[in-house]
Amino acid sequence: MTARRAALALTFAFAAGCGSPPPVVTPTPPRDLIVLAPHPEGAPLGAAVVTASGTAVDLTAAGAAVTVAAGQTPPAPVILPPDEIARIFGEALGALPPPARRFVLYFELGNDTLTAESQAQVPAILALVAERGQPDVAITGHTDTTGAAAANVVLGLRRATLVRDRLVAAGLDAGLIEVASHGESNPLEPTPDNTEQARNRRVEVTVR
Amino acid sequence: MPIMRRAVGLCVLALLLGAPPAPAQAPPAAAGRVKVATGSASIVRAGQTLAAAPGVEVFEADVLRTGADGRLSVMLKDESRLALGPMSELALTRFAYAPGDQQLGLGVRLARGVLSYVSGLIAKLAPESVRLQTPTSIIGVRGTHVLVKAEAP
Repeated sequence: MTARRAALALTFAFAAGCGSPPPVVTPTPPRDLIVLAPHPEGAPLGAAVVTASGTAVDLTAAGAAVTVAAGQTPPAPVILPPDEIARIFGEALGALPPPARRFVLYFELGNDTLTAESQAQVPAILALVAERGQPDVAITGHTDTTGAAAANVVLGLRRATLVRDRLVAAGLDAGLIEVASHGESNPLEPTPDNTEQARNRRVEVTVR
Repeated sequence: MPIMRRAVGLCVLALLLGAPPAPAQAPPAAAGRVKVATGSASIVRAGQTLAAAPGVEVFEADVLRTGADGRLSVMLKDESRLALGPMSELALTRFAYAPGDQQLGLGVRLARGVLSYVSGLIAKLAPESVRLQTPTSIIGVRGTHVLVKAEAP
């Protein structure tokens, strides 16, 4: 914008008969601003470490910000107030999608029937999918540690597929769905091998 | 049947060389999907520019780009979120999300513009494997929401 205005000014200057040579334009070196911002849904803040020119700067407070110029040691961080964050980053923040949501469905012991509570969650899943428009839906089966690990991968996949079929029958677009099994490798409640644990026999439905 | 014999010979040769009998390469899995795309927003993949729209898949090595009126966001499979404001360009340099195989990694490079990054499961499971890059800096993420503005010269 500034460059264009300068060029325009020069054009006028030449048109007016001023014969001075155009100024040498030196490009500004890159400058980056990095901010540790509050989490949009209120999860813990954590920290970020910015490394430039061999120097590391820790950002640990909400709004902690550092501006780094190419080839220079980064300065100490400052706190960027919320209205400044909104002014600089508002458009990107406005484009953030809502977070993924997870539903955990359980089966009756020893068969492939969803528990009544889990069955009752199906409408909420469909409503969320409709609200999100184009989500992907990940359906992942999990088992407890009863039986062999390989057999549990198969069991987890069978249950995940049952949930998939149930959601498709209820109207979910099959093209959005991805089915997987973690078998007994990702328990909610860690247990020794060959332990029955109802909370680990589950299918997780994640709407992204 | 010399032709037949030659074909058999070729197959044997192929087997000896360890070449697969047919192209069996599975297509790479998507890293995520576009969630919001307004104004001028595109994905550059292997030199081709594709229009970004909600639901379009994003892959490792893709470059996301917005124009003066553009905004673009993506949710990756590990539930990380990346949102770009106008006049931005971001490369998804690395995406690995296979917790069962200990394969975890996320790399993004913001060449210019404005980024909001909200961390997902990769950052939770293996924070040291998440790396954001700008023209001047490398950002290690131990946190959950990082904003970056890269002012290109």
